[in-house]
Amino acid sequence: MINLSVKLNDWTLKNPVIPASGTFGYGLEFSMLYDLNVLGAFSTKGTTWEPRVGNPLPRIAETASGMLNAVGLQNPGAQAVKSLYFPAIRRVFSDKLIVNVGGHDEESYIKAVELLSDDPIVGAVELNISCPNVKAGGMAIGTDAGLAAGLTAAVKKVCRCQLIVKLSPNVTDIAAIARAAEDAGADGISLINTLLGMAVDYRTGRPIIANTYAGHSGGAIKPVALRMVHQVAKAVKIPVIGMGGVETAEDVIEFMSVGATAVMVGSKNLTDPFVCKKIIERLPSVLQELGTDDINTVRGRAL
Amino acid sequence: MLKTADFVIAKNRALNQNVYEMVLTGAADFSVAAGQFVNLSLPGKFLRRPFGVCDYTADSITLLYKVAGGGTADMAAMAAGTVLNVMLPLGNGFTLGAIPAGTGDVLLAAGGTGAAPIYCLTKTLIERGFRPRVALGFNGRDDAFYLAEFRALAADVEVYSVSGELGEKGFPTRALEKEPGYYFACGPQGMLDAFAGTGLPGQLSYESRMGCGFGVCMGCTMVTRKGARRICADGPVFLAEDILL
Repeated sequence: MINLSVKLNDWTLKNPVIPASGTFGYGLEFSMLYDLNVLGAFSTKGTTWEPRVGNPLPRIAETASGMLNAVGLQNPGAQAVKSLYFPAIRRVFSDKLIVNVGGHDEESYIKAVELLSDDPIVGAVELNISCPNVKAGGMAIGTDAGLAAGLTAAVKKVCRCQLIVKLSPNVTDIAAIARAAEDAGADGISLINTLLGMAVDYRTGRPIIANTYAGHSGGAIKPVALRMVHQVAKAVKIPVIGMGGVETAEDVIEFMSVGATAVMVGSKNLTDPFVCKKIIERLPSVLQELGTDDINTVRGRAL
Repeated sequence: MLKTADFVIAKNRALNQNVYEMVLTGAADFSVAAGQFVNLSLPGKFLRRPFGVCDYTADSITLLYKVAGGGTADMAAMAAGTVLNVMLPLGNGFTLGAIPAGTGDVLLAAGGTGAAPIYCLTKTLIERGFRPRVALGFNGRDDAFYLAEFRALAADVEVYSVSGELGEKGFPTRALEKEPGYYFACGPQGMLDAFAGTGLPGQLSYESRMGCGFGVCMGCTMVTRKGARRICADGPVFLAEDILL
């Protein structure tokens, strides 16, 4: 019997595979495609205290081995998520989920975390201080160790479950930001959010994305993500959740090898909605090939 | 039920210099309706590409596409026999039940490759006993296509061209000069805005760059009178009365 279960502190996940925020909605569309209970957990669409309609179109562009998005945290607001979405998710998913929380100032983050972390369906809050597509909050906080620490500490006081801080790769020293979040009370770190990028139409000479800059994701960013997860795993003692261009079971093993305890799958969910289920089904045979019956033994081999 | 399945290109032919028709055959256990779309996975491209269904049989779908970038240029070069992964059916089709009972004059208007879903709708409405008026708009003679196919449906077909070298000069909005009882429109944003601006009852089909096509990425949202709606999952067809101009 092969063990796929991993532990995020005192929370045991049946496997390390977690659909990443922004690529899985609130799980409801996917619940019509496969049984969500095969997943270790899933991370919700970035949720803010106030409802947001997001940025103008176009928000999406193709890149070499990846994509750009500038959605801008479109979501129905924390109250609607708690009262309408959580009960609907409960009917199709019996484990706990990760709720991704965004904000535009400290107060808006605190109000959303206070409301959402109180629900028993929530195993962890993923604090989004790394969204590149909003004017205030988001990446502005995650690229400054002092601001990141301040917000983490403030939110930690009201958070009734684990607090995972999601980091931006758009920094010079990611380990310093990770240590700042850990020192401020974070229970875990997830990374990387999207890399700030841009696409231009050579015919018009204009940006393709209405918002000009956008978040780059997909297979193209995997080498950057592996390097940053490696750096952070060496810098902190709390669990690290790795992501960035994960498309296969082998990718999951690579991220665990650089120190990740669990792994998020992002953009690939959009082009292959069954990818997480496929990865989970394939993990045992990859572990067999490696000659181990416990996925935890692959963690940190590259550290 | 949304699924992904491998289809084989049975036919891929140029209709003019830029517009192509592709027929894909595959497993027969799928359903599509007029106004719905499919999302094609192309070799070497990360994102799928959405296309409105032009026609379908029990085991095939026909798409029309205009070469607009690298993905569609690749498609134009694909040979019969090539396998493509298709996600389908996507979006909500046209709501035929919304046509008020006794409406005599139903107008179906298409601009450019908006003709694809309008062809499917024309066929469906005729099968159901309607006698729709079809208005097709093109830039000029060189980029027209599917005129014979529409006329073969025995529909009342009006043709408009911006250059005036084919049919009547102007946009298909000119078909509104004879006010319809109800309309369906698919085409460029300006054309859809013009139709919605008339205040007449009807339905409009939108297009957008999409991340997923099935409602999870929020990459194709438009704000309507009912709030933010996803073109892929809440549309691509919207009631004219819900459109914010």
